[in-house]
Amino acid sequence: MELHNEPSLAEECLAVRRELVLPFTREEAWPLLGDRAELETWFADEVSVDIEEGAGGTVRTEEGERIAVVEEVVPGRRVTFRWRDPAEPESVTLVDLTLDDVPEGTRLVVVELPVRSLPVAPAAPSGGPQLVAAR
Amino acid sequence: MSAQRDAVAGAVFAALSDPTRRAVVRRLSQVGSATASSLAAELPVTRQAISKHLVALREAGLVVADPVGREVRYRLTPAPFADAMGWMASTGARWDERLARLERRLAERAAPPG
Repeated sequence: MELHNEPSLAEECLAVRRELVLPFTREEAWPLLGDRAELETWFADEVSVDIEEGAGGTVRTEEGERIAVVEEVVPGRRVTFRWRDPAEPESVTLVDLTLDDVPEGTRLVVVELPVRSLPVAPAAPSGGPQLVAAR
Repeated sequence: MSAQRDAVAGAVFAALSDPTRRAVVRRLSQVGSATASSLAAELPVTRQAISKHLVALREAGLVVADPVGREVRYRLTPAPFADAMGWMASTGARWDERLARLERRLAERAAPPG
């Protein structure tokens, strides 16, 4: 159907996307994503979670502590995790950090979006009360 | 507060994850208010499907139904969309700060003080 060919409005307008070109090769840049101590130099004050698939823990930022679960790790390329405020189970967002080769070095691309925007399953009628609860 | 915003943004995103619901939201944003029948006439979906999606949008707090005579007219409620935009702005600002910090750290390493 015609409607399905439209770009996703949610992805188009409602995901946060940032990028930064780093003057390194991907191999050199990788520890910035894959090493907890390196993550603590820029991403958060304290990273108490192993950068391994399935690992869970906490991340402390200037705004407080968040619960995090690592979803995917592709060494040299990508780290994806979900995180949320401990007091707000509905507030889960997905963060995807990716490294791409570019002529100037390596591009770090950051995407963050609320998890429920992912079109993993069509919203069933039972999704309604959940959404109301989220208000 | 920002976590609450995350949750509301999640509800908006979930509601907009369906292409028909996006089309309904877009149409309502253009015309202000509309009946289910007029939406069905303008979009390539059945009236039944439109009604189902309007229920989902109402339950998500994104649309309100106003009885007008014998009709029910639907319109968008702006607050959740504003919350979603607020989430975008605050989350974007946090990433701007993090990436700026990363740039500073890398510059310090490239040219250590002294």
